[in-house]
This record gives sequence, structure tokens and C-alpha cells, in this order.
Amino acid sequence: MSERTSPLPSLPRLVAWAVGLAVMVAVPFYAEAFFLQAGVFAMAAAIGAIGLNLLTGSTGQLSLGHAFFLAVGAYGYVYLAGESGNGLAGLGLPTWLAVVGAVLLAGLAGGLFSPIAGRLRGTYLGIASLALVFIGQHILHNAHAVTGGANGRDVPPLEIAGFSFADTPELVVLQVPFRALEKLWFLALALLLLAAWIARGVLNGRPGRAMNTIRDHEIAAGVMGVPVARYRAAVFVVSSMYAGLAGVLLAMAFRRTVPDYFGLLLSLEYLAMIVIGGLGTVAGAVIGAVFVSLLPPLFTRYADGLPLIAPPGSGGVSPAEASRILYGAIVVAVVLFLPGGLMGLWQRLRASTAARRKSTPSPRMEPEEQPA
Amino acid sequence: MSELKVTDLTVRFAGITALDHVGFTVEPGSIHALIGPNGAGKSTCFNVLSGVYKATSGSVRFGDAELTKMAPHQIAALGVARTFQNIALSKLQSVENNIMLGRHRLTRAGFLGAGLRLPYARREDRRHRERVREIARYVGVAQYLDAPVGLLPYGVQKRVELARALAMEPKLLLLDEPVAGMNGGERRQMAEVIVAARADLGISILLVEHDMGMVMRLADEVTVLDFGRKIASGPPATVQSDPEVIRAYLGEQAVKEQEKA
Repeated sequence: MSERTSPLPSLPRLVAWAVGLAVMVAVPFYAEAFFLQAGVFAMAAAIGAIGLNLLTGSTGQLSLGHAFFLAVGAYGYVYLAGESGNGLAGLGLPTWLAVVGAVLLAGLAGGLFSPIAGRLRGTYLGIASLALVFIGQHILHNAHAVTGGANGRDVPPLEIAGFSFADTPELVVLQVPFRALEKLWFLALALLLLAAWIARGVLNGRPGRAMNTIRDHEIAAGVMGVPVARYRAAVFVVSSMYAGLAGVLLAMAFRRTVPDYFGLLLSLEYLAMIVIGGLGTVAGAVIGAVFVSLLPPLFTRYADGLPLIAPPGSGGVSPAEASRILYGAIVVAVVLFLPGGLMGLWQRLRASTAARRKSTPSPRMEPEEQPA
Repeated sequence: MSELKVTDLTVRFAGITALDHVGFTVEPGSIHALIGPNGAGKSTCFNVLSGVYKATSGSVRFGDAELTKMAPHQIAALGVARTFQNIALSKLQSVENNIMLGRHRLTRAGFLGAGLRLPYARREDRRHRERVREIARYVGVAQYLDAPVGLLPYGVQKRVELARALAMEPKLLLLDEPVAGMNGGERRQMAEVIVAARADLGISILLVEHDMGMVMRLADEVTVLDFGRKIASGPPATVQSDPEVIRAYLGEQAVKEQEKA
């Protein structure tokens, strides 16, 4: 894990990365819009989950307010980039600037909460941050000029240096038409890689060691020179900025922001992601996010072939409900049987195969012939 | 080098007086032992010195700084390091990363520096890891650097804690029962490291310990607490024969027997 032992990644690891990247780049050329949309959502969720995992998994600070910061990112982007008119306010900034602004805005919102985030420990912060979700819902429904109220607002497509992430103008790459989803796929992939790379650097570096010690032994952290409250507040801000970026991407993929999406259930989903994937690691957050956010669309898609799941609106268990029940059960199973989540399972499998490869066969012994 | 001067230190928890007008001085470069039966207030004293508990009254001065008014991380910044009676390490982290935490106050890399792997952060990391490995060799845990702390035997974990405290490059080291629960060999090894650290690094050491043999061998000065009050202080030999101390440790009967003898 530490970067010290291998300054250069090993060959198998390099090959795995190259293959993974090639697959991720190839997907938009083959997959249909449905899968692309699900994939963009999953990658956006992964960025948000990495942020929550920094806070909850690595520092031991529970947050139920993650949905609030996702909303700040999503609506912040829409407000900063949107045009005024039709009773709605907007600053009409260049969209790339609006992305940066929305992330900073989410960080600022986290900073405003930091007097509380710095002082409260673990589950206490969880309870306090619950309030954010309800405050957020109230604002989203009532600050009509900024948020568009219950009906939400359209999301302006991103444009960077004349390149538009919208359906038009259509771009053709290798005879495949690149529409908004294909472009967003690459944007989400790039941002996810960047977000993961930064989070790994933080975790492997000086802040990561301080965060882990705050989680494992708060008093020791203080005595060793870590300003505990300041660190807790700082991690909360960083986690909020990750949520903000995830919110921006989600808004772009939805093309319309609606307040009901950013409820308590969303906060719980993010917690489910990091618990299922594995607390405290970047890879765990990504695995969990992909798992939790791909289940509902896959269930919807294959509702016909799956037992007990009915298409939405037909009276049976809907795909969304079914996936929620399933990952609820999985969270329980992970907590009981898989400390470390799916990531921990993977590491344990690798450790055991490595041990098996290493172990030399024990010498055999034949029974000695005994005189009758 | 500055001395640690505790004067009239009193700590009360909701009616219970854990420390009652306690005073002693740790001379620069000396090993000072704080002893006493269970519940005498030794750990409370340590927690006040490191900023974990707030004093009700009295003062703790280290050089020019008044420690009773400071937060733990500010006290650490002055060069006061401590170990814990019950091991307080990150069990899932490697030994090296645990010791690296001791370098926190000596390093600067923040979220941006570490996240973006800025050159100064990488240089700093490399330089301080080198020193950490040196300290690990000094304390005798170099062969465990990559192992998660939680998998190591108790005696090794105790030494990792000492290494983490030494990694802070302290001026004053507070050791809370450094050899508790160890066997004879481990105790001797730990005592050697403590003596060597004082000699090589010139640090002052304040030691809480129940092992009397070790206290008598190591300490230049001993302060004895009983029920939160100082009942004796002085060189080990004097304290050892003090009737007040014998009464606290062994009971009234033992004092009478000694007087007869």
C-alpha cells in the first residue's frame, strides 16, 4: 500500500490499469445510451463516495448530510451557469467557471458547517448533519428564483474552449456519433481518475496518517501534535467539495435538477456505497458506488427476466425498491461477515492466493512397514 | 534544555480529588519516576501534562510555557511526547506509518501538497521516512516496518509506541508504564533503550512505572503519590526506605516489622 516500497508500479498492476482504461475508453463506442447514462451516474456517484469515505471511512466522522452538498454542487452549477429569465435567476458565467465555482461553493458550505464538524465526534456529527438534509430540502423547494422550486431547473450543458458537451453539434469519432452521453462519459472518467488520484495522495500522505489516527485513537492524535478539531473541519470541507463535483456531474447527466432527488435517502445510499465497497479506501468507495448505482438501472432493464420484480407502476416490487431491499441486506451481510467490504474481500483473496503460491508443499511421509 | 516544573497541581472530577496540590520538578536531562499504588493519580497527572485533562488549579511550566492553558497539539509542538499505558496505535497501519505520525509536527504537507504530490511534499516524505527508519533501528523494530501494527506481539507494539514518541524529536518524554505486561528480556531491552535515549538525545524523561526494580535502576529522582497527594520524593534509595512509602505500598504491618528489624 505504501508508495515507498515500489516507486514504479509492478508489471501486472500496470497491465491491469491499461486493460481497465482501454475498456473504459471503448465502452462509448459500443454501449447504448442506457448503459452510458448508468455509467455516468456510477462514475459521478464514485466521486461523491470517495469524498464521503475520506470523512467517514478514514476519519471516523459520520455524515448524513452528503446529499445536501451534492445538491449545493448541482444547483450551484445551474445557478452560476444559467441565464436569468422566466422568473429564474442566474449569473450566466462560462460553464467551466461555473463547475469550479460550484465545487468551491460546496466547499464553502462545508466550511460554514465546520464549527460543528470540528467539534462533534463520530455518530454525533451524523445526527447534527441530518439537519442539513432537511434545511436543504426546504431551501430547494422554496428559493424559487435560484432552484426553480419543486419542478427544478434545466441544466446548461458544459462548454470548454468551444467544445460543447451537448447533443449538438454532433461529433463523429470512428464512425460513432458522439452525443452528450458519450462526451459526458469521458468527462466523468477523467474527473473520477483525477479525484481518485488526489484522494490516494491525501490518504498515503501526512493528512491521511493524521486522519486515521483521529479515527483510531483521537487522544493519541492530539498528543502527537495533530490539531484534531481543525483536521476534522478540513476533512469535512474536502468531502463537501467531492460531493459538489459529483453533484455537478449528476446534474449534467440528468439535464434537469429536481429537489426530491437530494433527500435523506440519497445520503443513506452514499453510506451504503462506502460500507459495501469498503471503508477507508479509494478503491472501496469506487466499487461500492458502482455496485449501488448500477443495481436499480440493471433491475429496471431486466425486470422481465428477474423473479419478484415487476416493471415500475405495475403494482409489484419495483426495481428501485428491489435494489434498495437488496443492498440493505448486503449492508447487513457486509457488516456481519465482511469487515472491509468488497475491497476487503478482494484483498483477502489476494493475500490467501499469494500465501498459497509461496507455501512449499509439506514433506510427505509413508507409513512404516511394521513386522507382523 | 528546559525543566518541567509542576506546582500545586490540583485536579477534581465531580467531587473526587484525583490530584491534591502536587508539586515536583523534572530537571533537564534527568529520568524522573512517578510511582504510587493504583489510583494514586499518576495517569491523571500525565493527562494534565499532555493537555488531555484540564487542571482545576495549579501550574505546569515547561520552560517559559504554561501547559495547563494549552491544547494537546500545542503542547506537542513544544517538544513534549508521550506513550500510553494502553497501546494507542493505528492497528491497520504499518509500523512505519505509525511512527511517521510522530513526524507530524515537524512536517508541513497539507491536503493540497499530499493530494497533488507536490515536489516539496514528496521530498519531505522521503527525508522523514529515512529518519523514521533510523529511529526504528534504534528502538529495535526495524524488521517490522511494513507489518500492520495489529499483528505484532504486545512487547513490539510497546516499542513501536516508544519509537513514535521519539520520532517527535522530543525535549521531554512522558512514558506511561513502558514495561507493563512485558517479560524479563523485553523489560531489560526497553530499559536499555530508555537509558540510551536519555544519553544520546539528551532528553528529560518522566516515567510512571510499577516495576520497582526498574524504577530504582533507572531513575535519578522519584516522586511518590498516594490518593492524589505527594507523600515522598527524593533519590530512589531514600524513597525506598521512607516509612510513609512502605505504608502506602505494603500496609501498616510492614512498617512495624521494619521498625523491629
